Amino acid sequence: MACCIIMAVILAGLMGIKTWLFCSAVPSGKAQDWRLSTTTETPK
Amino acid sequence: MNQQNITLLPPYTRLFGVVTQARLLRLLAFYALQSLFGSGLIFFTQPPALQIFGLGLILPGGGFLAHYELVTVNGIGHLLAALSGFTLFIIGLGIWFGTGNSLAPPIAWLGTALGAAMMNHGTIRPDAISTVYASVSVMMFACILWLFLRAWLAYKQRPIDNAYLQSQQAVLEKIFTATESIQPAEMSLEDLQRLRFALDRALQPIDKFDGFEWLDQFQTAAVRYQLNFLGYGIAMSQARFTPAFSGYMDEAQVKLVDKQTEHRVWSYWQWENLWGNLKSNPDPLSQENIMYTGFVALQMALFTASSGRKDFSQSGRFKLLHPSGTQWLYEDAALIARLEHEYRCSDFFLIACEPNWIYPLCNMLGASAIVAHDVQTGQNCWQHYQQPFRQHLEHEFLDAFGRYVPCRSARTGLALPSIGGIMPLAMPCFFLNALAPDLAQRQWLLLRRQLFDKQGYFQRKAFWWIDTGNYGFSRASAYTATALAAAELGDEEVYTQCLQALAEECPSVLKAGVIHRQHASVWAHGVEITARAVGKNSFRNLLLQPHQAGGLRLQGLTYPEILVASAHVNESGLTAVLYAGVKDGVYEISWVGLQARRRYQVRGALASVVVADNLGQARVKVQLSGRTLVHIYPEEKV
Repeated sequence: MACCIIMAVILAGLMGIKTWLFCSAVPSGKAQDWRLSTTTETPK
Repeated sequence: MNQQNITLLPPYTRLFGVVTQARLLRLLAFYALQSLFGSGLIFFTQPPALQIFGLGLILPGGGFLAHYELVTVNGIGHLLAALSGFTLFIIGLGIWFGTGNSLAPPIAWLGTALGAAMMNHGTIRPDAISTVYASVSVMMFACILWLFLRAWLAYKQRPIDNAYLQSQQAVLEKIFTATESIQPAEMSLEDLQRLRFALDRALQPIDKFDGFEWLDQFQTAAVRYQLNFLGYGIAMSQARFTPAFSGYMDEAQVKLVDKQTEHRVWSYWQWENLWGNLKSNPDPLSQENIMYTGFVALQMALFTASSGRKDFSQSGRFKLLHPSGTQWLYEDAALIARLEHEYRCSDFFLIACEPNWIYPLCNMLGASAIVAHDVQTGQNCWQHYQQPFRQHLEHEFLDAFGRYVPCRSARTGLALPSIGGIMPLAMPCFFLNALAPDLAQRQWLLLRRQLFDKQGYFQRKAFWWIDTGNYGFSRASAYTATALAAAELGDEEVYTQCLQALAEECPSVLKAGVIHRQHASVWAHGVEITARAVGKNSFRNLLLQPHQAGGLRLQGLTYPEILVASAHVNESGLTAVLYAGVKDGVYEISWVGLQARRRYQVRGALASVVVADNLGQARVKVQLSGRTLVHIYPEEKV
């Protein structure tokens, strides 16, 4: 039973790490909504 | 121009390519040795710990089966532990795939074997050994059965696929309906508002990344890919619509390449090189990593092709500065040289992205950069690589059913199955059109069967609901990537259907003069901008016929006040279509490349005549109100 609990904890921890690595921010759409300030134009 | 004779799939005569087969046999041999050693521990040693370790070597988590049974809580606990150990190994494989971490699977396997051996629960149960061998035997048998079934199905399917391809010969003109237009192209105001999504992000300071999505930097949501495809989109737009305008279109591309030098963009490689190649070199251009080298090389190449400028040909122009103070100085030729070197080092010829993982798509991108660089520098390097590239692509990366595998492990020969719906099949066709248009056409015709049912209705279900740009629940990346390939190959029907589906599922939002889409990643936005800028064979033609620097062009326009929908030069001068990006009003525009001190007529401006200065420059004020056409031409040519 002890090894089962140990493995379950390890598994949960690794799943958490995986989630953090690959999904550290839920896409919120805020990046897409951003606009360059019109006072920051690049005259060239 | 469509290929006159459709290239068929090669005959299906073997399960795997020569190199793949060698790798797989090596993997099997390694496992056989490991199992032999494990069996030796089981049958020829006395301590239970060694025997349990031996069980664990034969099957991941198998050591925990030493004391499993189904009638006691402890026994069931051991069974669950064994399943957990096996799952841990599978997760290790996933980490290996996702980040190139070669240590994860063996650590998981050996770790669970050691963990089980250290439990000290007494002698192993007699039926535990037979359970482990039976489990392995069942899995082996299932694998062999699957291989034979796959081979049999593939052997039957190959002539069917080739017969289908031959049947398409007569209807090519009905599929690839687009023509290569020679008329000057012009963006609509809506196109400009979409392009501003890329320009906004590109024109901020190099170290600012507002408006980008920061998730992981290992897989497809990485910022480097957002930089790549926003850059490709601006380059293709400039080449097709505004070849006679430099200014902020040039600067946007330069900045997007320079952003690739920011450490946080390439810092992933330090980890991947460490746990994948066991090397501590953080330089992302030191080895493999074609997902950085090749993609950035193409950014540089498209910048040069669309603008004529050779900024990144200057020695050391592309500087990578590590926080430790170490710096590496590169230029476009050095990136190309790195790709050439990696070709020579790879047994598969194609180059790995993450350590050990070879992606055909990424290699097509990198190869496109070599083709472009050849033309721009008057070299002919690609001729040395074209044939082996094609040969290895066809023999090592084509699966049993005529699809290019998403990726293959260079060390083990294992390949990821062709998952992901239409997008991973379609997107390579865009780049492949510049390298081997016959293969691009063939692959497109094969995948197209999935896009329409027998009644001719477009099958949206063929597109997976994963936006690879941010792992969101959306088909934005699938639609845009497929539209991109359709545009390049000239399949107007698929192009239109994809954009229509995109519009319905990911509605546009116009805010402050910029359009973005709901439910679409920044990467998907970049791909869409590229797709909308591409006409039939646009990408291929731009690589083979890059624009030259100099000549008459618009310059000195302020962004976003003045937006350029088109700018083309012909015998009668330069004609441009402008829009006000902020508000209608009077703005100053200027030209360069005029003949010094010559008089020019101007239509559409507040002055009807300008005189070029000694540097061949002139400026004039223009009233921008809606679509505004401005035409400058030498005075005597009325």
